[in-house]
Amino acid sequence: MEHFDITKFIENNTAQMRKGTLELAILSIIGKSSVYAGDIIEKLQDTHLIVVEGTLYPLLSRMKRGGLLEYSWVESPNGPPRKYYGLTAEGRSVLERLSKEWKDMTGSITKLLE
Amino acid sequence: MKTTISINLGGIAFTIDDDAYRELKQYLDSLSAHFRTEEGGDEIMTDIEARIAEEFSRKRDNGIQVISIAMVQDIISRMGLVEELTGTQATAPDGVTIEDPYFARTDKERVKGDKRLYRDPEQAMLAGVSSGLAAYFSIDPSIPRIIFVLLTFFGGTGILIYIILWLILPEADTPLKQSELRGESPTIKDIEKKFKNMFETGKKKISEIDTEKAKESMKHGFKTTVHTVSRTAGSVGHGLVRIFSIMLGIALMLVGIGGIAGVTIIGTATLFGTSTILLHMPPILMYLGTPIAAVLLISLWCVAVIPLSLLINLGSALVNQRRVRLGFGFAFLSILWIIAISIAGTLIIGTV
Repeated sequence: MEHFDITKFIENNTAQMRKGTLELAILSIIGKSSVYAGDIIEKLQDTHLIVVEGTLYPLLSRMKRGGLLEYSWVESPNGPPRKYYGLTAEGRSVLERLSKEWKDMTGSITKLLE
Repeated sequence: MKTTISINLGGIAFTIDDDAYRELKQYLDSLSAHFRTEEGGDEIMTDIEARIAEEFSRKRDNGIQVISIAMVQDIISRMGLVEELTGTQATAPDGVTIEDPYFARTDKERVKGDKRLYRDPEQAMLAGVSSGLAAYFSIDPSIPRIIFVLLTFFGGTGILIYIILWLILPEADTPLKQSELRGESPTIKDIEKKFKNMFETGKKKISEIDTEKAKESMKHGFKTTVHTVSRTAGSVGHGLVRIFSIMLGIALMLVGIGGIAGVTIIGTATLFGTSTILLHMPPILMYLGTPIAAVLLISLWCVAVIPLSLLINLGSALVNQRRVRLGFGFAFLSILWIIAISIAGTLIIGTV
């Protein structure tokens, strides 16, 4: 009989849920207004979706290469110029579809939980 | 009193404590070793460096002149260590590993034994060709060495093969490449440990960073001088090899192009009867005026031009610092060459 660690089980489930919604959260933050990585981090920290900042950059880079995001350089008051991200038309339609999926899923899961 | 170093991070110059610099460099190296396998890895690195630079400049605006080790540690804990960033696998309670589709891919590929042949500078006697072969095939380095020496007695073949391998094979100059050479699946910890060692041995080479260079890389945008300096410092010897290989590459390309041009001109001239050079060859004289002469000339042309074009390919690979890929094209040309030499041979033997 294998050892079953309940705490780990819960931790892993939570981690997977967070990971799964991270990109949706990033897309919706960028969808609201043009932001740079620092802003995204600030907003994400409230959601507890992200533990360390470093995870954000590979995701941004991937979504940019996937044609979902575009950016423009903006001079910064302190430090190097910033990349301000915005959604492309494709990014916007992905965001719409993902948020519909999210609403459907949370709706039905919530119903189950009631 | 503490020694400080001036660095260029994200295009901005900072003054940083020596110990803080070491910590930061080790951290950035570990990140870049991790992200280099990923598509867009360079961009991710510049983004992270720009972000760190922004935090440092914010601190500076608050009147802090010198970056301390505490500040570096703070930013590292916020950005996350490589282990935290990878988070590649989450082990489920039942022991099943869940692969993260976004982060795991490159790691997974490498774990499956992505072995690569490199020159191994760690065990090298000369350029590391033999030690690289030995590490790759998990044999004693003496074995390839003895084979090279023995082959040298056959008209210097050993030396020629050695030089070609020297030029073609890249050097395993990073811990990651070392792991690939040995076919180990590297753990992040191993790589970090090796980086630490490399840093300890290499740090004497890193002197100060001159402002000209900092300005230069500022123009190029986001490149840490931390990176470039350590890279150039360790590779003075490699630079000589590179210059030599570029010169050899150009020479090979010239020989190839010249050869093809020469062979083509002579061939065409013979075919249209304006040149008599090849007429000294009895077979061509025999077939002259018949369509067979054209077949023979074209076959001979292929026999000469195919190796010459490979020479051009090898030369351009040397100049562009890329590896020679012997793919489908090579197989096709090889078969074509064998056909051409068979036809030419048959025709020539037929006349004797």
